[in-house]
Amino acid sequence: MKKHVVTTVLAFCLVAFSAPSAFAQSHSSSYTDEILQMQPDLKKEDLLSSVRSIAKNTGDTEEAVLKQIVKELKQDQMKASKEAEKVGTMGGKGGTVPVGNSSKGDFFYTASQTAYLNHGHVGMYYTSSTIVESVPDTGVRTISTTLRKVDQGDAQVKSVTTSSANRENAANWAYSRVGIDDYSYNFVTNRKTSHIGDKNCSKLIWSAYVLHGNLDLDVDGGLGVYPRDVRDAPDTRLIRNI
Amino acid sequence: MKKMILSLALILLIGVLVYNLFMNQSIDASYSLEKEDIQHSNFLEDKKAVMYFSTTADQDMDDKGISLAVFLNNKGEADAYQMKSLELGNLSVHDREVMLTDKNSVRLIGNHYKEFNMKKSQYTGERSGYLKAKDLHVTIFNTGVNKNGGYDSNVWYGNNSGFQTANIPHYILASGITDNEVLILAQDIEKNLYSLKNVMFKESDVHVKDLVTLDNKTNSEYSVRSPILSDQDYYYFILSEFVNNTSEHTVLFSVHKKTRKQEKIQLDSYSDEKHPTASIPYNVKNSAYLNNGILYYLNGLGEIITFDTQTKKVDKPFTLKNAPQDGVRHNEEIYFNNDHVYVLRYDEDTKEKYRIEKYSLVTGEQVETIKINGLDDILKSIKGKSIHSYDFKMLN
Repeated sequence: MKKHVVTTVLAFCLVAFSAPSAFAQSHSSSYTDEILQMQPDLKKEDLLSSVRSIAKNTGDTEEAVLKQIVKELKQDQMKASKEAEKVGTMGGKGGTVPVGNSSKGDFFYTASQTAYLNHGHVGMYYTSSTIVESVPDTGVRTISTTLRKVDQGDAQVKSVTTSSANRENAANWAYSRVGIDDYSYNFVTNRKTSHIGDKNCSKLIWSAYVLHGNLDLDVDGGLGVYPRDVRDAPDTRLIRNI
Repeated sequence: MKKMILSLALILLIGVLVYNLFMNQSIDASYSLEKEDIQHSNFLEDKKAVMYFSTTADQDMDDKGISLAVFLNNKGEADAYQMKSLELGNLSVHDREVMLTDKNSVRLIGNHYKEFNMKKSQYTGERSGYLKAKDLHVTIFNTGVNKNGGYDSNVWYGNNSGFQTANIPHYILASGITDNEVLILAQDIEKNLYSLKNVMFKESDVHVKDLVTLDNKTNSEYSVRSPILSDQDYYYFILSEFVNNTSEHTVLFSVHKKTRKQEKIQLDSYSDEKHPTASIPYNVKNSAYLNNGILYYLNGLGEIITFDTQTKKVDKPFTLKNAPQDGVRHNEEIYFNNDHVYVLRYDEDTKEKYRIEKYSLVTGEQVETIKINGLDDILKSIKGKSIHSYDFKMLN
């Protein structure tokens, strides 16, 4: 019941905060504000620059691009709210678990909280016992599967349905970015940014399999690939729930 | 216009309410320690234990990740000092002095409080400890690959007189700190090589010396299961040898200090498709201890496994009471000292939820239980972030 109330209140606030401001001078600036409210670490100039570039390449208006971003962000947030409710209903006890071993090229998903929203997080297995992942400040890093803790309840380990050569090459590519690529706060248009350079956790895995396997690990396409989009991509298979 | 102002006020009110209910990372004021508290020279006098908690690096996206040093006093009450986050952060304790580390600074708490802000932030800890022979607190970080492609494990070391920085140019799989040296098991992930090294601290730098590379004819993949320990003749460390995604062997390596002869001894094996991580110790950095010629290892199933360093006999003398078998952790921690092991436990069915159990390593009997009031409330007061335990030390 408590979880239901929490989810309802959060959903209400999401709608309330996401409602276009009555003082907005245009739809575009209203969408921009909404996006920056939901992704406050994303710099406005980076967002607008990316939007301009996409609009130019696709022929869409900048407003349409911004509208699409808002739609995708809200979809992700709705998923987060529903999952929070589901974990509560199923009696998640709030424990933690080391993410544990899996095969090279597999990945894990875990809920990941910031002060703004539960955006989720994904990391890839470089070896059976070593994770490669992109985290804020550090960028792409490695961490032992023994030491990497995740919340029990909605975390998962999944494999990618492709050849072992593709899995091997994708993991090698992700590992090759360690220490080179910094973190990027831009989830909203990360499908359109370069594979080389700053990236977040979902972009790392998505790029790895685009480049090595020609797979699009994004359940709903669009402009941004979020951690849940990778988790729910059709070319993935559940290995175990955590 | 009036409606608009009312709507805005309502949204603001809901915002404040939601923030306080679900996103506020400040701990409950009644359990919160201020800087002035920990600065008192007698602050540690009535403290029995200290625990370290932090959010993980992926949650620091908004720079609002936090860590907590939770102090337990002699009355069984817990209070917390909040700092910036440091995933896998840890504690150094020596002679009524505690070193706390977060991503930006070190604090020495004891007779003379000192705080040192470091120039470069760190995001992942590895190990902290005290080098008695050098009168130095040391904290090592898993810094990451540098721009030249090499690996950095940055080190901060010092005492009340000041702290210096240095670098260990290796990825560290396991580590240990003795009275006069730091021991590391460096891993070359790409080549699957494991090398034992020691790190000596000089006046203004550290010196890393190769000791031995592990024989690995089967090209086994290893994970850390224990700190590196040392007695007069040998170095010891426990690793997990990968069998498949749900099975592993627990193996002890011993390396003779003079001859560098190495031996691999299988302590145990584990296989469980449903709970593949259950045998991983509550904290692999504090999971083993040497006392009177016996090496003690506490695995994640609550089993104490012993290795007699003279006879080389392996045994399982006792198991913690009601130890969970599913691998799900609720901040359980381990601290060995002399003839005892202290275990931070969680029990949903008790009022306090958390307690410290003290077991005799000699008899296996549980000899004391210390209830912890307030820890559950402290941890529950952290909203919108997942916080994990990373270290635990008894202070008296």
